[in-house]
Amino acid sequence: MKKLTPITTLALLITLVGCSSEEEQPVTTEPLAQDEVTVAVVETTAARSGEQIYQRHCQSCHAPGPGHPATLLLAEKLGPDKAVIKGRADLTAGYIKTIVRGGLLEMPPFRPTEITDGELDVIADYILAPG
Amino acid sequence: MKRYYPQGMDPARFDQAVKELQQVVGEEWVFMDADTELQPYLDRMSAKPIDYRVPSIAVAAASVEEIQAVLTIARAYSLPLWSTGNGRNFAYGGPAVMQSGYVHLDLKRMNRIIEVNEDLAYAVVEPGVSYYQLYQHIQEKGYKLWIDCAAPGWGGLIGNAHEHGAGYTPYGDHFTFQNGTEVVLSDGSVVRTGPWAMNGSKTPHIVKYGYGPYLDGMFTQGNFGIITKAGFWLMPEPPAYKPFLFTYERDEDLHQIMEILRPLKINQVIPNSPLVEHGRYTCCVQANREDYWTERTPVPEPVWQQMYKDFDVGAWNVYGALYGTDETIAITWPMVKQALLSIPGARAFEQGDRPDNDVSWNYREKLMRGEPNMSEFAMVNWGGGGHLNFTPLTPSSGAHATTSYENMAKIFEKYGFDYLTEFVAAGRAQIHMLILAFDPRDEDERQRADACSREIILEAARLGFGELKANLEYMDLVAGTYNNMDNGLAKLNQKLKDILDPAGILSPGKSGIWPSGWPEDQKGNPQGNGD
Repeated sequence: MKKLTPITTLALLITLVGCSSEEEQPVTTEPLAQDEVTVAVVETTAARSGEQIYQRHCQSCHAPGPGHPATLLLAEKLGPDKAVIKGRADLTAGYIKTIVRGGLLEMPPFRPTEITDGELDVIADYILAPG
Repeated sequence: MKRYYPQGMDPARFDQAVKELQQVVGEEWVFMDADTELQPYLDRMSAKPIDYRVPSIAVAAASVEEIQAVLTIARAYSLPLWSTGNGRNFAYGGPAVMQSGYVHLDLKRMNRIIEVNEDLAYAVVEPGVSYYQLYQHIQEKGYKLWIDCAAPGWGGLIGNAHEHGAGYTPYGDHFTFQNGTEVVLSDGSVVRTGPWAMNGSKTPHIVKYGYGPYLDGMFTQGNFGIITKAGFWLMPEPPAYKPFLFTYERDEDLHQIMEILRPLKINQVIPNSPLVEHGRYTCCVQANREDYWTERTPVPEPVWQQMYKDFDVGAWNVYGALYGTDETIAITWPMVKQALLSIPGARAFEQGDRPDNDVSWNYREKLMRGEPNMSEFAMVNWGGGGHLNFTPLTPSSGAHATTSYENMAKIFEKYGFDYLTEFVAAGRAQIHMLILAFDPRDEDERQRADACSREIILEAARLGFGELKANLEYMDLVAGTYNNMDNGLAKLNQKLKDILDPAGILSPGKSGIWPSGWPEDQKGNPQGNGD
């Protein structure tokens, strides 16, 4: 059985019973003052590094190993040597940018609101870099 | 690709509207080139050609104020706006607009996590916040909270919950755990629901109803407003978590599986909604189809049986989890195990029992504790990229599950597709998930997929199993199956639409709800006008 960090009894009851009885409702807890909560976390897309963009948008499908749909498909279509895109020598920046915007096979395109035009160069450089 | 204009609009007048929209959001956030900029706003995964639903432009607003300004222009020029957040929702239309010529209102730039409250266990987010983004934020902050995500982790909290989406932890019914909505109506006014409507409210995201009618549900799968913020309850990380898998050898075991699961789920012995996944589904997320069957005909049963052996899975595979403390799980696990092992041939697997490279176990174990991943998206590979999902809702019983399973199997067989399916044992009802995988580049497969889809929807309705969701192409068809009391529900939706959106500018046709006066001959004619 996986051990996880202990929490309060109240929170556990909420988890277990889905807030089904009155005495276990989360509203019985004293509300926190406004300045005690996390407010306005803005994810900017302007200054992300290639690694950050890759981690957010690419690696869950393109990382090595089982469980990554794009790696599975590319292994079938192109062979295991070309299954992982990171560091592939036969790719070009222009090709990568075209696929990100236009999609390919099972990969849908990414909108400029997800990966900006400026970030296309950054992500292409990161993918092309060895390692 | 030709350029489309909003229905009936003179191109010169539309160009003037575009200039005004550019002044609101900035020129760089209005996309117009159909061959380049608008490509990511098309749906490549449905049964219609890629150029079937092409927006005139896409406008990316970054704030409530920009949305209000966009609405002012839309009302003045009668622009139909089709809004999306993360723009995923593939299998149901993805980022595509209902009809060619609509203006796509892209809200992905609204990606603020407004608040995470660890003690009261909730978050407030904007429409562009994805599961990955919130998960990463919680990890970075070290909050002892879990999110509940859809299987493809690139989806968004607001979009998924308001499309009646589901996840895999005990908080899997996403809209049930939504609390408080901020909506911009078509006239530009902003509304906050429930306790959030009170100035200085201390409970905007921890009490769902507040005073007066509960309106949040009206903004799900609808077109009565644009959702700009919403709160979501998050699950406190439990001290103990125990995922499990039970496998079964025979198709006919489905009946008894569902009979066993019903009381375990309704009584909350199993807190999440167990997935009863057919072996075909389990295999298609980890195998390349061509490694086993190179024909486009359905994979024969002996080949499936070989895959079950290769991946060590059953004809049916039940994934679920227990949550709590070691002590509580020590009580419930023997009950669950004894019940689910009572079917001859059943096998039980716990953490550590499956090989390290077991894709299905690994991604489901992550999902059931709220870690987003993309592993299940591999099923899209199975048919060649196209996929349509269907969700008949059946009562939780072995008889209903078997009826739905067998009747839908005949339809898949008739149209020549692999029958990929699972049941979500949600308690009193079951969601019968059907995945229709096909090659969207093949005209014949697309046409068969379209015909198959329509028959699935109508057969499910004949059985009394309504759909939970619908692809854009089938929204009118599904809406038409909810038709008793002389189409009472549709008429009520029509009244609400006409009152709340008299200009008919918000997502016309969403869920079968069209503005009054929308030309009948344009409904179901998504090509719009263009040059």
